[in-house]
Amino acid sequence: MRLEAANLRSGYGTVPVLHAVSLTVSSGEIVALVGRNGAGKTTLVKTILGVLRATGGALRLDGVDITRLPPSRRVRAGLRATFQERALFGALTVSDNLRLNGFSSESHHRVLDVFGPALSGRGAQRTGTLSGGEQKMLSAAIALATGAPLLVMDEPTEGLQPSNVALLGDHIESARKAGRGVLLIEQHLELAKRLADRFIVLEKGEVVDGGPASDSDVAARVARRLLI
Amino acid sequence: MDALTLELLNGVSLFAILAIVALGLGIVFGLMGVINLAHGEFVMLGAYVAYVVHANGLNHWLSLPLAAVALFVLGVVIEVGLIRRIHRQPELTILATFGLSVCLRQIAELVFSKDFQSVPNPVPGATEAFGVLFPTYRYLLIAIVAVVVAVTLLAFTRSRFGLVVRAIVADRDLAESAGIRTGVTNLCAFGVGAATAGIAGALVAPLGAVEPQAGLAYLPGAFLVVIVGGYNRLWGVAVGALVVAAVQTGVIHFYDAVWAQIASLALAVMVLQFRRPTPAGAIA
Amino acid sequence: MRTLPDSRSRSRLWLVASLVALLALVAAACGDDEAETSDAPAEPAAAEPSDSEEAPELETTEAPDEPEPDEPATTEAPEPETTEAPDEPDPVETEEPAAPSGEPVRIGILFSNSGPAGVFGPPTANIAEFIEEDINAAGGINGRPVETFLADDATDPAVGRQAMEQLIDGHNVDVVLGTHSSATRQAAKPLAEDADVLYIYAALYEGGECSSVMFNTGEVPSQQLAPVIPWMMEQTGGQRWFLLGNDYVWPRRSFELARQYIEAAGGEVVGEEYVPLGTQDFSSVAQIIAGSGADLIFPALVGGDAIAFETQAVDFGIGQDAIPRLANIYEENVLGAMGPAVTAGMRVTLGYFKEVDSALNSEFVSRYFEHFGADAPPHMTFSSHIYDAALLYAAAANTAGTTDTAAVAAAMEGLSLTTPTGDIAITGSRHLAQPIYVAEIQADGSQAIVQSFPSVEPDETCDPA
Repeated sequence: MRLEAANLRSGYGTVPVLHAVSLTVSSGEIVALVGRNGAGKTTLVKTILGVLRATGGALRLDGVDITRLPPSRRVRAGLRATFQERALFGALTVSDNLRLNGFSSESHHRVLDVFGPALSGRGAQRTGTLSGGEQKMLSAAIALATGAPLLVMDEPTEGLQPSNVALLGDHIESARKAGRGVLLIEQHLELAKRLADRFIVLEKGEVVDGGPASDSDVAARVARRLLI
Repeated sequence: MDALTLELLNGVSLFAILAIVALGLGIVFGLMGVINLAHGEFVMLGAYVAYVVHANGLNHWLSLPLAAVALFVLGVVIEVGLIRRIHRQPELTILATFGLSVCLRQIAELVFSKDFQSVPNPVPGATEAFGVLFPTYRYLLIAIVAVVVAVTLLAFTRSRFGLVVRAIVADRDLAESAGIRTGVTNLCAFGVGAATAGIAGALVAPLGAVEPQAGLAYLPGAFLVVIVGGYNRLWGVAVGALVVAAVQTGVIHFYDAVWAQIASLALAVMVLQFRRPTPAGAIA
Repeated sequence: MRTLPDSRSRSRLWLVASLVALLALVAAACGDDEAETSDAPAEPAAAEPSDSEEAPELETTEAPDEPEPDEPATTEAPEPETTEAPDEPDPVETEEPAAPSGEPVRIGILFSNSGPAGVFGPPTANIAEFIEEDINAAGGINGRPVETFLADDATDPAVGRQAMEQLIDGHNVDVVLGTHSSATRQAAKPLAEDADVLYIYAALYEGGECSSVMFNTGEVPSQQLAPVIPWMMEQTGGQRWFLLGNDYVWPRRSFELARQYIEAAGGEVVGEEYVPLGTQDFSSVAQIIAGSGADLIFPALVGGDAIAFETQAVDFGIGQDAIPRLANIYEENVLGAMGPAVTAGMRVTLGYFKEVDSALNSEFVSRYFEHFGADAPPHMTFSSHIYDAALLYAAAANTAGTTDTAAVAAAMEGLSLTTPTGDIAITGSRHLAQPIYVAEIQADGSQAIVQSFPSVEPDETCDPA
């Protein structure tokens, strides 16, 4: 499966944030999207999922235009995202969150066990009472467990303990092995370097750089852009 | 003692009428954030269903399911044709549903004429219970409303559908991102809201006039209930109807009907002062 | 007759508003096409070219006669049984008047054809057609034909003011005949005064209006009640009255006077309650009435409120068969919706019923139903008073020889006519001495006049100078 953004534009009200962003993510590859705060990463995630309306350009999934579809239709077409903030229904229980995401009661433990013992058996707990890191893990676990062929993950490691960051990295890697495509928005450069097949650098709402991660020049340029 | 019993029964029957009339408004407002100014016209059309049933010599009770079905279909058509495109813009929904209400009144006038019509009481007379005589129809009305409201509220809280509804009320975009087709849920909610209004209309038809303007009289009471009861939880409709009915009945008993209306309005104003309204389903 | 230009444009305005909301905002599929076709809300008055054959009957309403000095003596007289309605001598054949010609005299009619009181509109719209036909057949006004212009106030004073403005400025009318709420009258009156246009308010109302451009020819409470309350107590033997009305000026004024007449007749008021317009549930009120010990109810409720009260009252054991009603506004539409099971035996006091027993009225009513169809909205007190107002205006303008407002107003004073309503005469208080009829609802729902009081004087004073 292949996600393609072509000259995608978007913003809030009359304030444009993304100016003609083009990128692709294909099955079996991990694309790391990096950029400083305010570069428009989260806006891009919301626009790809359709929570935010694109004001221009097009989004295609396997060549099919999805620019005007509501998020639920994109999800049903194979796209899944984790959000940086407000990624879960805090007022509902963990189990209810899983049910809403389409998991039958029998499969709940499979999702909760993704991160080992951290979330096991906590289905009855109100989601809002989980710690920030636990909520991050839960939302990542949900996205991974859905088996959606294309994942968009917005800062999934933020607030996670190093051991869990490594675990998440393993899961993302096995997703790639299973033939899934991942667009990973990541501040954590080490993890991005470990996982990514390609880099894309976003700055002020535009793609300013990118290239294969195997190219050491690219990796060096990416590091420099983020540091300066 | 008897007077008190009667007043209590009056209060309960008023509660039932208010609750069934406001139920659909509360559902649509609470779930979709749509202020439906045509809700009264849905009630009016439900009453006309009862009138048509009567005019064809059929049993009055048949009009309840028929009104529910007819109004559900109408609600679905209106949701698809009108509400769907604008439901995230409250000002537009107010204008559009106002236009719709005028439109529905005109249509009712064209089809049924302006004349007052009525539906005869299917169970005339009174029943003796609790030591007092109280109209039989009102006992039945109370029982039917209790069932309809309970079933609706349970459906919206205890079922998978109810979970989806709560998720949408909490965060529509997040629900969409979880793959929930909120459009379908909206459609159902608007349809169910209209259907309950239809039932309300068919139920109140034997208690008053059936005419194109009748909806105008029901809308303020329904809004009062929704405002007083709160609109981010569906039980609010029951609570609001209870409070408004208690205030109305009490004030009519001790003062008069005019003060009762003023008191309920004052109550609504007070409630609005103390509540910070949150637009349902909006995301920052 | 102009085909309802104003009422149409008024309802069009509403429809345009709704269409704008529906179409411009949404491009919706919903009500559009239906709205498209609904643009003339069921107006039965759609101006058929009038057949001249039915006109001649009314020539006898000898319009241009000098004001008769001797007025038929007022106050009641008839025997309780005889139900005498003023009988009209057979039409006296006069010479065919010359067909009117020249610039038409323009008669504006301000009425409620939509909104809560819109149900009263259709008979008035019908009667506008007869106004043109009959006055023109009788030679017009000063040799000129008349033309009527209808304007709908949508039962809304603000709309009513605009409608009045349109009649005066847009259609340049010579006179406005009004049948609508007092609120609309208050809003529209200043425009008539500023433009110095004669304004004849013909709806029954609470009384007290007095203006140099106005005459008020509808029933006022003193007329509907003074003779009828003692009669009602005598008929039923009831003494203890419960007064139940909507909360606005007309029921309040009616009850204020009713209280005087009741007490003067030796009765008492055991309860007086007001409910807001649009009240749907009367359970608590019914309980108050049941506990009051009343043996007579005077309901001054309008439209849907009346229907809701009466249908609910039966189940609370305070229906007409338990406590007799004397009503002062229940008309056929409302009574019909209540159904004969609820209404049989109720008495209604008004200045006109289509059952008025006179040759003139019988002919008029049968002509009405012939012309507009057997199921036309029945001719009733509002439409009858508009018709009378038009004849009064025509007579006064013919006497004055002009349509100048002051001159016509001067000719109006003391003017008397015999119309299908009965013998009517303008009083010094610029109101109308008129017959008052009491109808009793029969088991089949029809109305039968059981008592009539000829030429009842209104208890009003007015000196507009």
